[in-house]
Parts: sequence; structure tokens; C-alpha cells
Amino acid sequence: MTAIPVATATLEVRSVTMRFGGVLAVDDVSFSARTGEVLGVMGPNGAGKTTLFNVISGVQRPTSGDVSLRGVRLTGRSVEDVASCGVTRTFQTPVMFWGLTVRESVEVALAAREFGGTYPPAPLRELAPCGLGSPGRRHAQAALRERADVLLAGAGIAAMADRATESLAFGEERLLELARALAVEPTVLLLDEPLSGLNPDEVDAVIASIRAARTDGVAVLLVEHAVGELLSVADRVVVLDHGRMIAEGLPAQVAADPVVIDAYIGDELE
Amino acid sequence: MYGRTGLVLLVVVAAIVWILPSYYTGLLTLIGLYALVTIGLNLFMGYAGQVSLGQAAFFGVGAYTSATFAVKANITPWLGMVLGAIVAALVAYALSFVALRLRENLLALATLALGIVINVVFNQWDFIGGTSGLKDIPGFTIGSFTFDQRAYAILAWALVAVGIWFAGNLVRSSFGRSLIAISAGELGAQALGVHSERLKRQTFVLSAVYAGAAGAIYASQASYIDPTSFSFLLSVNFVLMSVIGGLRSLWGAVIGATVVVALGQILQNVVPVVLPSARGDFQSFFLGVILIAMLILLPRGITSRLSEARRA
Repeated sequence: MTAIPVATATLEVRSVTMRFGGVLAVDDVSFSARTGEVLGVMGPNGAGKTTLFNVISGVQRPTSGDVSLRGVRLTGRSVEDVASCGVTRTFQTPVMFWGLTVRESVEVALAAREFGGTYPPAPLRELAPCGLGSPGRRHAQAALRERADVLLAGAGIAAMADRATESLAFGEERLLELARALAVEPTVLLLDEPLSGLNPDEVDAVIASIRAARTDGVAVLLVEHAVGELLSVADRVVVLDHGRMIAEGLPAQVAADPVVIDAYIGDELE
Repeated sequence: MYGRTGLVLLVVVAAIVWILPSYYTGLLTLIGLYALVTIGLNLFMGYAGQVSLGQAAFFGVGAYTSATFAVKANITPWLGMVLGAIVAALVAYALSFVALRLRENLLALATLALGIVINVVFNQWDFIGGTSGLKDIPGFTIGSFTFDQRAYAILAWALVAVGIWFAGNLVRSSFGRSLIAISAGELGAQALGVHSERLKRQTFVLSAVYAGAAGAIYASQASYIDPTSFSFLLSVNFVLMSVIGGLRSLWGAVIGATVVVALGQILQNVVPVVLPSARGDFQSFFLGVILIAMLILLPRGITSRLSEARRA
């Protein structure tokens, strides 16, 4: 094997089909995402976008087809294994870790990477050092804290660091969830409607974070109902309708595609 | 902070056992042993957000392991305590592959059932005494000194001090925070790469270690055990101690164990005076009423009210 082409596909979705009883939520969808691009995933309600995210992130196992990351098959792995491979995600409704502060939430994400690996066995690697409060562990803990503060500052939410997650407003939850996802330094980041419910300042902050992640070489998959924002931030777009992929291309092309316009207008008329 | 306060508590116990009547010293030992079990249970229930209605089984496994080695092979309870903790851990590890696949109500039912199954084993296995149990279990010794009630109280609370120190470090580390993340949003934590099942398994096994060590001391202190000592009812009591003290609080475990044991004792003394015709059932009845009232008034445990008061 010689040099890997620069534009190599990072995430490969091949013929993924997801059937719930008689309903085809995702119907033979194939596409790929490359490092350092924002791939918009568009489609009217019920098009199968979230199901697709669930399949990629390991929450649901597809009826057929598979997903791989740089040639490593992800399908069949658990959510945490998929995450360890470098694919992480956010949720339509942000998942908050109530009981922790904002900083601690980010520390959990950072520690998840540190806790990875297979040797020594988990109790010696995780339980014993943490319970004994070993100097090495305390050192690591302080390093996590510092790193978390850097990440929170980068996300523009340093002022929230010591707040309890229970006290956050909806938009702040979204910002924290995104910061947490970026903390694991993913290869692929799946964002499920990251802009919905945000005020204009928060929208700008999220878009800035997405662009920064792209610059860092992350492949960002973006599901978003705000079509204008999606088309402005995405490098490429795939469009789903009733589980099928009906278009793929540059934002301008897709926006002008009669099939796409039809799908959206048709949806609104229904 | 947990370590230091635990040490202070140990010193207090070591001091008051010299003035306490031996009956109350025995109760103090029991509270310490139950507190130890409940600290482990709080890690699993309060922090990791799981539920176990089978903790008495691990307490029993520890007791039976230590007692059997002591009675049959004349192995010192000091080693028996370690073996009891290890065997309880192994049992929990094996059971975790069944139990931890389940969530919430189903997990509660599964642990309940597993606890009952283990109790059936205690009942049916003649080698460990079957229904008649094991008697004349050798006590702890140091040189020629055989432990009296005072020494057991000190030993139990020394273990509480160690147990709360370890658990205290744990809950303030990435491990404990990951548990809290799992209990708040398991899928969200998993999506970040938190191996929730592995962390839950370690916590479940650790809770069995706490219970197993406590059970081993219990066996030697009581010098007699039988399957009824480790029934489902005791598991329910452990959960009550957890909830009443405050699930997500390690001191809550100590307070919960103290309150439940003390209430039982108070009722035992008070009910016959107030209601001379009442039989033993009435004590359970009043205990139940008081506990339900506490759960309604302090749903997040006694420690939740204490920390609110401190903040105010």
C-alpha cells in the first residue's frame, strides 16, 4: 500500500436500509463524508435523518448495509465503541449530565478517552487509581480540569464552567453538548439539529464551532431544519425524502434541484 | 475530607464503646456493618443510577465464605474477610452479565430474583449447614486476644472509615463523575465513549466487596448464621437505608443505617410501653409508617435537607 489519497473518504455509508415493521425509515442510502468537510443532511420531517444518525452512531443496527470509518467497520459495534473509533454525536434534545457542573461534564468526555484501552484490566486502570486517589490520578485529574477550561474558553462558554448543568437554559445546553462532543476530538461529528431553539448569538457561536472543527479536519455531518444556515455552512449536501436519498451535491446545486424543491413543497402541502 | 471525617468517627466509636453497655456496642457494630453495605449500594444506586434489591445476598456470601473457611478449615477470619469479599465480588461479576443488561424495574426484579436464588443455595447446600446454618463460628483474634463486642465495633467502624475514604475518592474522580453522567443520560455518555457497562460492572462488583467484607465480620461477631439472616427483607432494608440517608451521599449511607437500626430499637422499647397489648407485628407496622413518612417528607434523603440547611 502506498500513500493514501488526500481526499480519501473518512466515513463510508454503504447501502444502509433500516426497516421498522413495514416502514422503510432509511432505504438503501449510500454516501461518504471526507475529513475537513461539513456534509449537510437535508430532508423534510420523517425523511430518515435521525434514523440515519442512529445507525451511524451505533444506537440502531441497520436492517442491511454497513457503515465504516477509514475502512474499519462500525456496524455491529456498541455506541461507546463507535465513539472510541472516533464518531461522536449530539442529540435533537440535548442530553445533560445532571448532578455535574459544566466543567465536570466536559471532564467526563475527556476522561472517556483516557479510560480507553485494554491493559491493564479495567479495575486496575480505572477503579483502583480513582478510589485510592493516587498521586498519578490526582495529577491526571488536574490535567483534565485544565484541558476542560481550555475547551470551554474555546467554545465561548468559560463563564458557565462552575454552573450546575440543571441551571442551564436550552441554548446553553446545546453549546455545552457541542463542547463536550468536541472534547473527545472526534474524526466524525454528527450534529442533530444543533441550531434549533438557539438565539442569534448562540447560532453564531455554534456555526463558528462547526467551522473551527472543519478546519481541524473533522468530518461534520449536519442535520438541520434551518435550511438557509445549513446551505451556508455546508460544503456538500445530501437530501433524503421518505428514507431515500434523492439528491447529493453542492449546496447551490441542491437548492436549485427541482426534485428537492418538490420534496419540500410536497411535504408542506401535506 | 471523607477520609478525615471517617477517621474522626472511628475515634469517637473507639472512645464511646468503653462507656456503652455491651448490648449497644453490639448495635453499633451492626450499624457500622450495615453502613458499609449501604456505602457500596449508594455508589451503585445513587451515583451510577442503578438499583439492586439483592445486596443481602452478597452480605450473606461474605458471611458464609468466611464462616465456612473458619469452621471447616480453621482459617482465620482475617483471611476469611478477604476471601468473603473476593467470593462476593466473583459472584457479583458473574451475575453482572445477566443483571446489567437490564434497566430500572427489570434490573430491580433481576437482582431481587438473584438474591432469592442465592438464599436458596444457602438453604439447600448441606456443606454450609443448609437450613440449620453454621454455628460456633470462630471469632477474630489478635495473638491471644479474642475479639469482644468493643473490638468488633472498632473493626466495623475502621472498615467504614476505609470504605468511605475509598468511595469518597471515587465519587470525586473521573470514575464517579462518569457514573453520574451515566445515571443522568446513559446514551449521551456512551456517545462520548464512556463505557457505561464496564463502569457499572466495576461499581456493582465493588458494592459486593463492601457487602462481602461486612458479612464476614457479621458472621464472626454473631458466631451463628443461617439463611434467614440474609433474606430478601434485609435487601429491602439496605435499599431503605440508602434512600432514607440520601442516595447520592456517602454520609447518607451512615445516617441511613443508623436511623433504620435505631428506629427499630426505639420501637421495640416504646411500643410495648405505649400499647401493652401490641404484639411484635406492631413494631414493624410503626416502622413502616415512619419510614413511609420520611420518604414522603424527605424524598431525597436526610442528607439532602442537611446540605440545604448548610447552604442557607
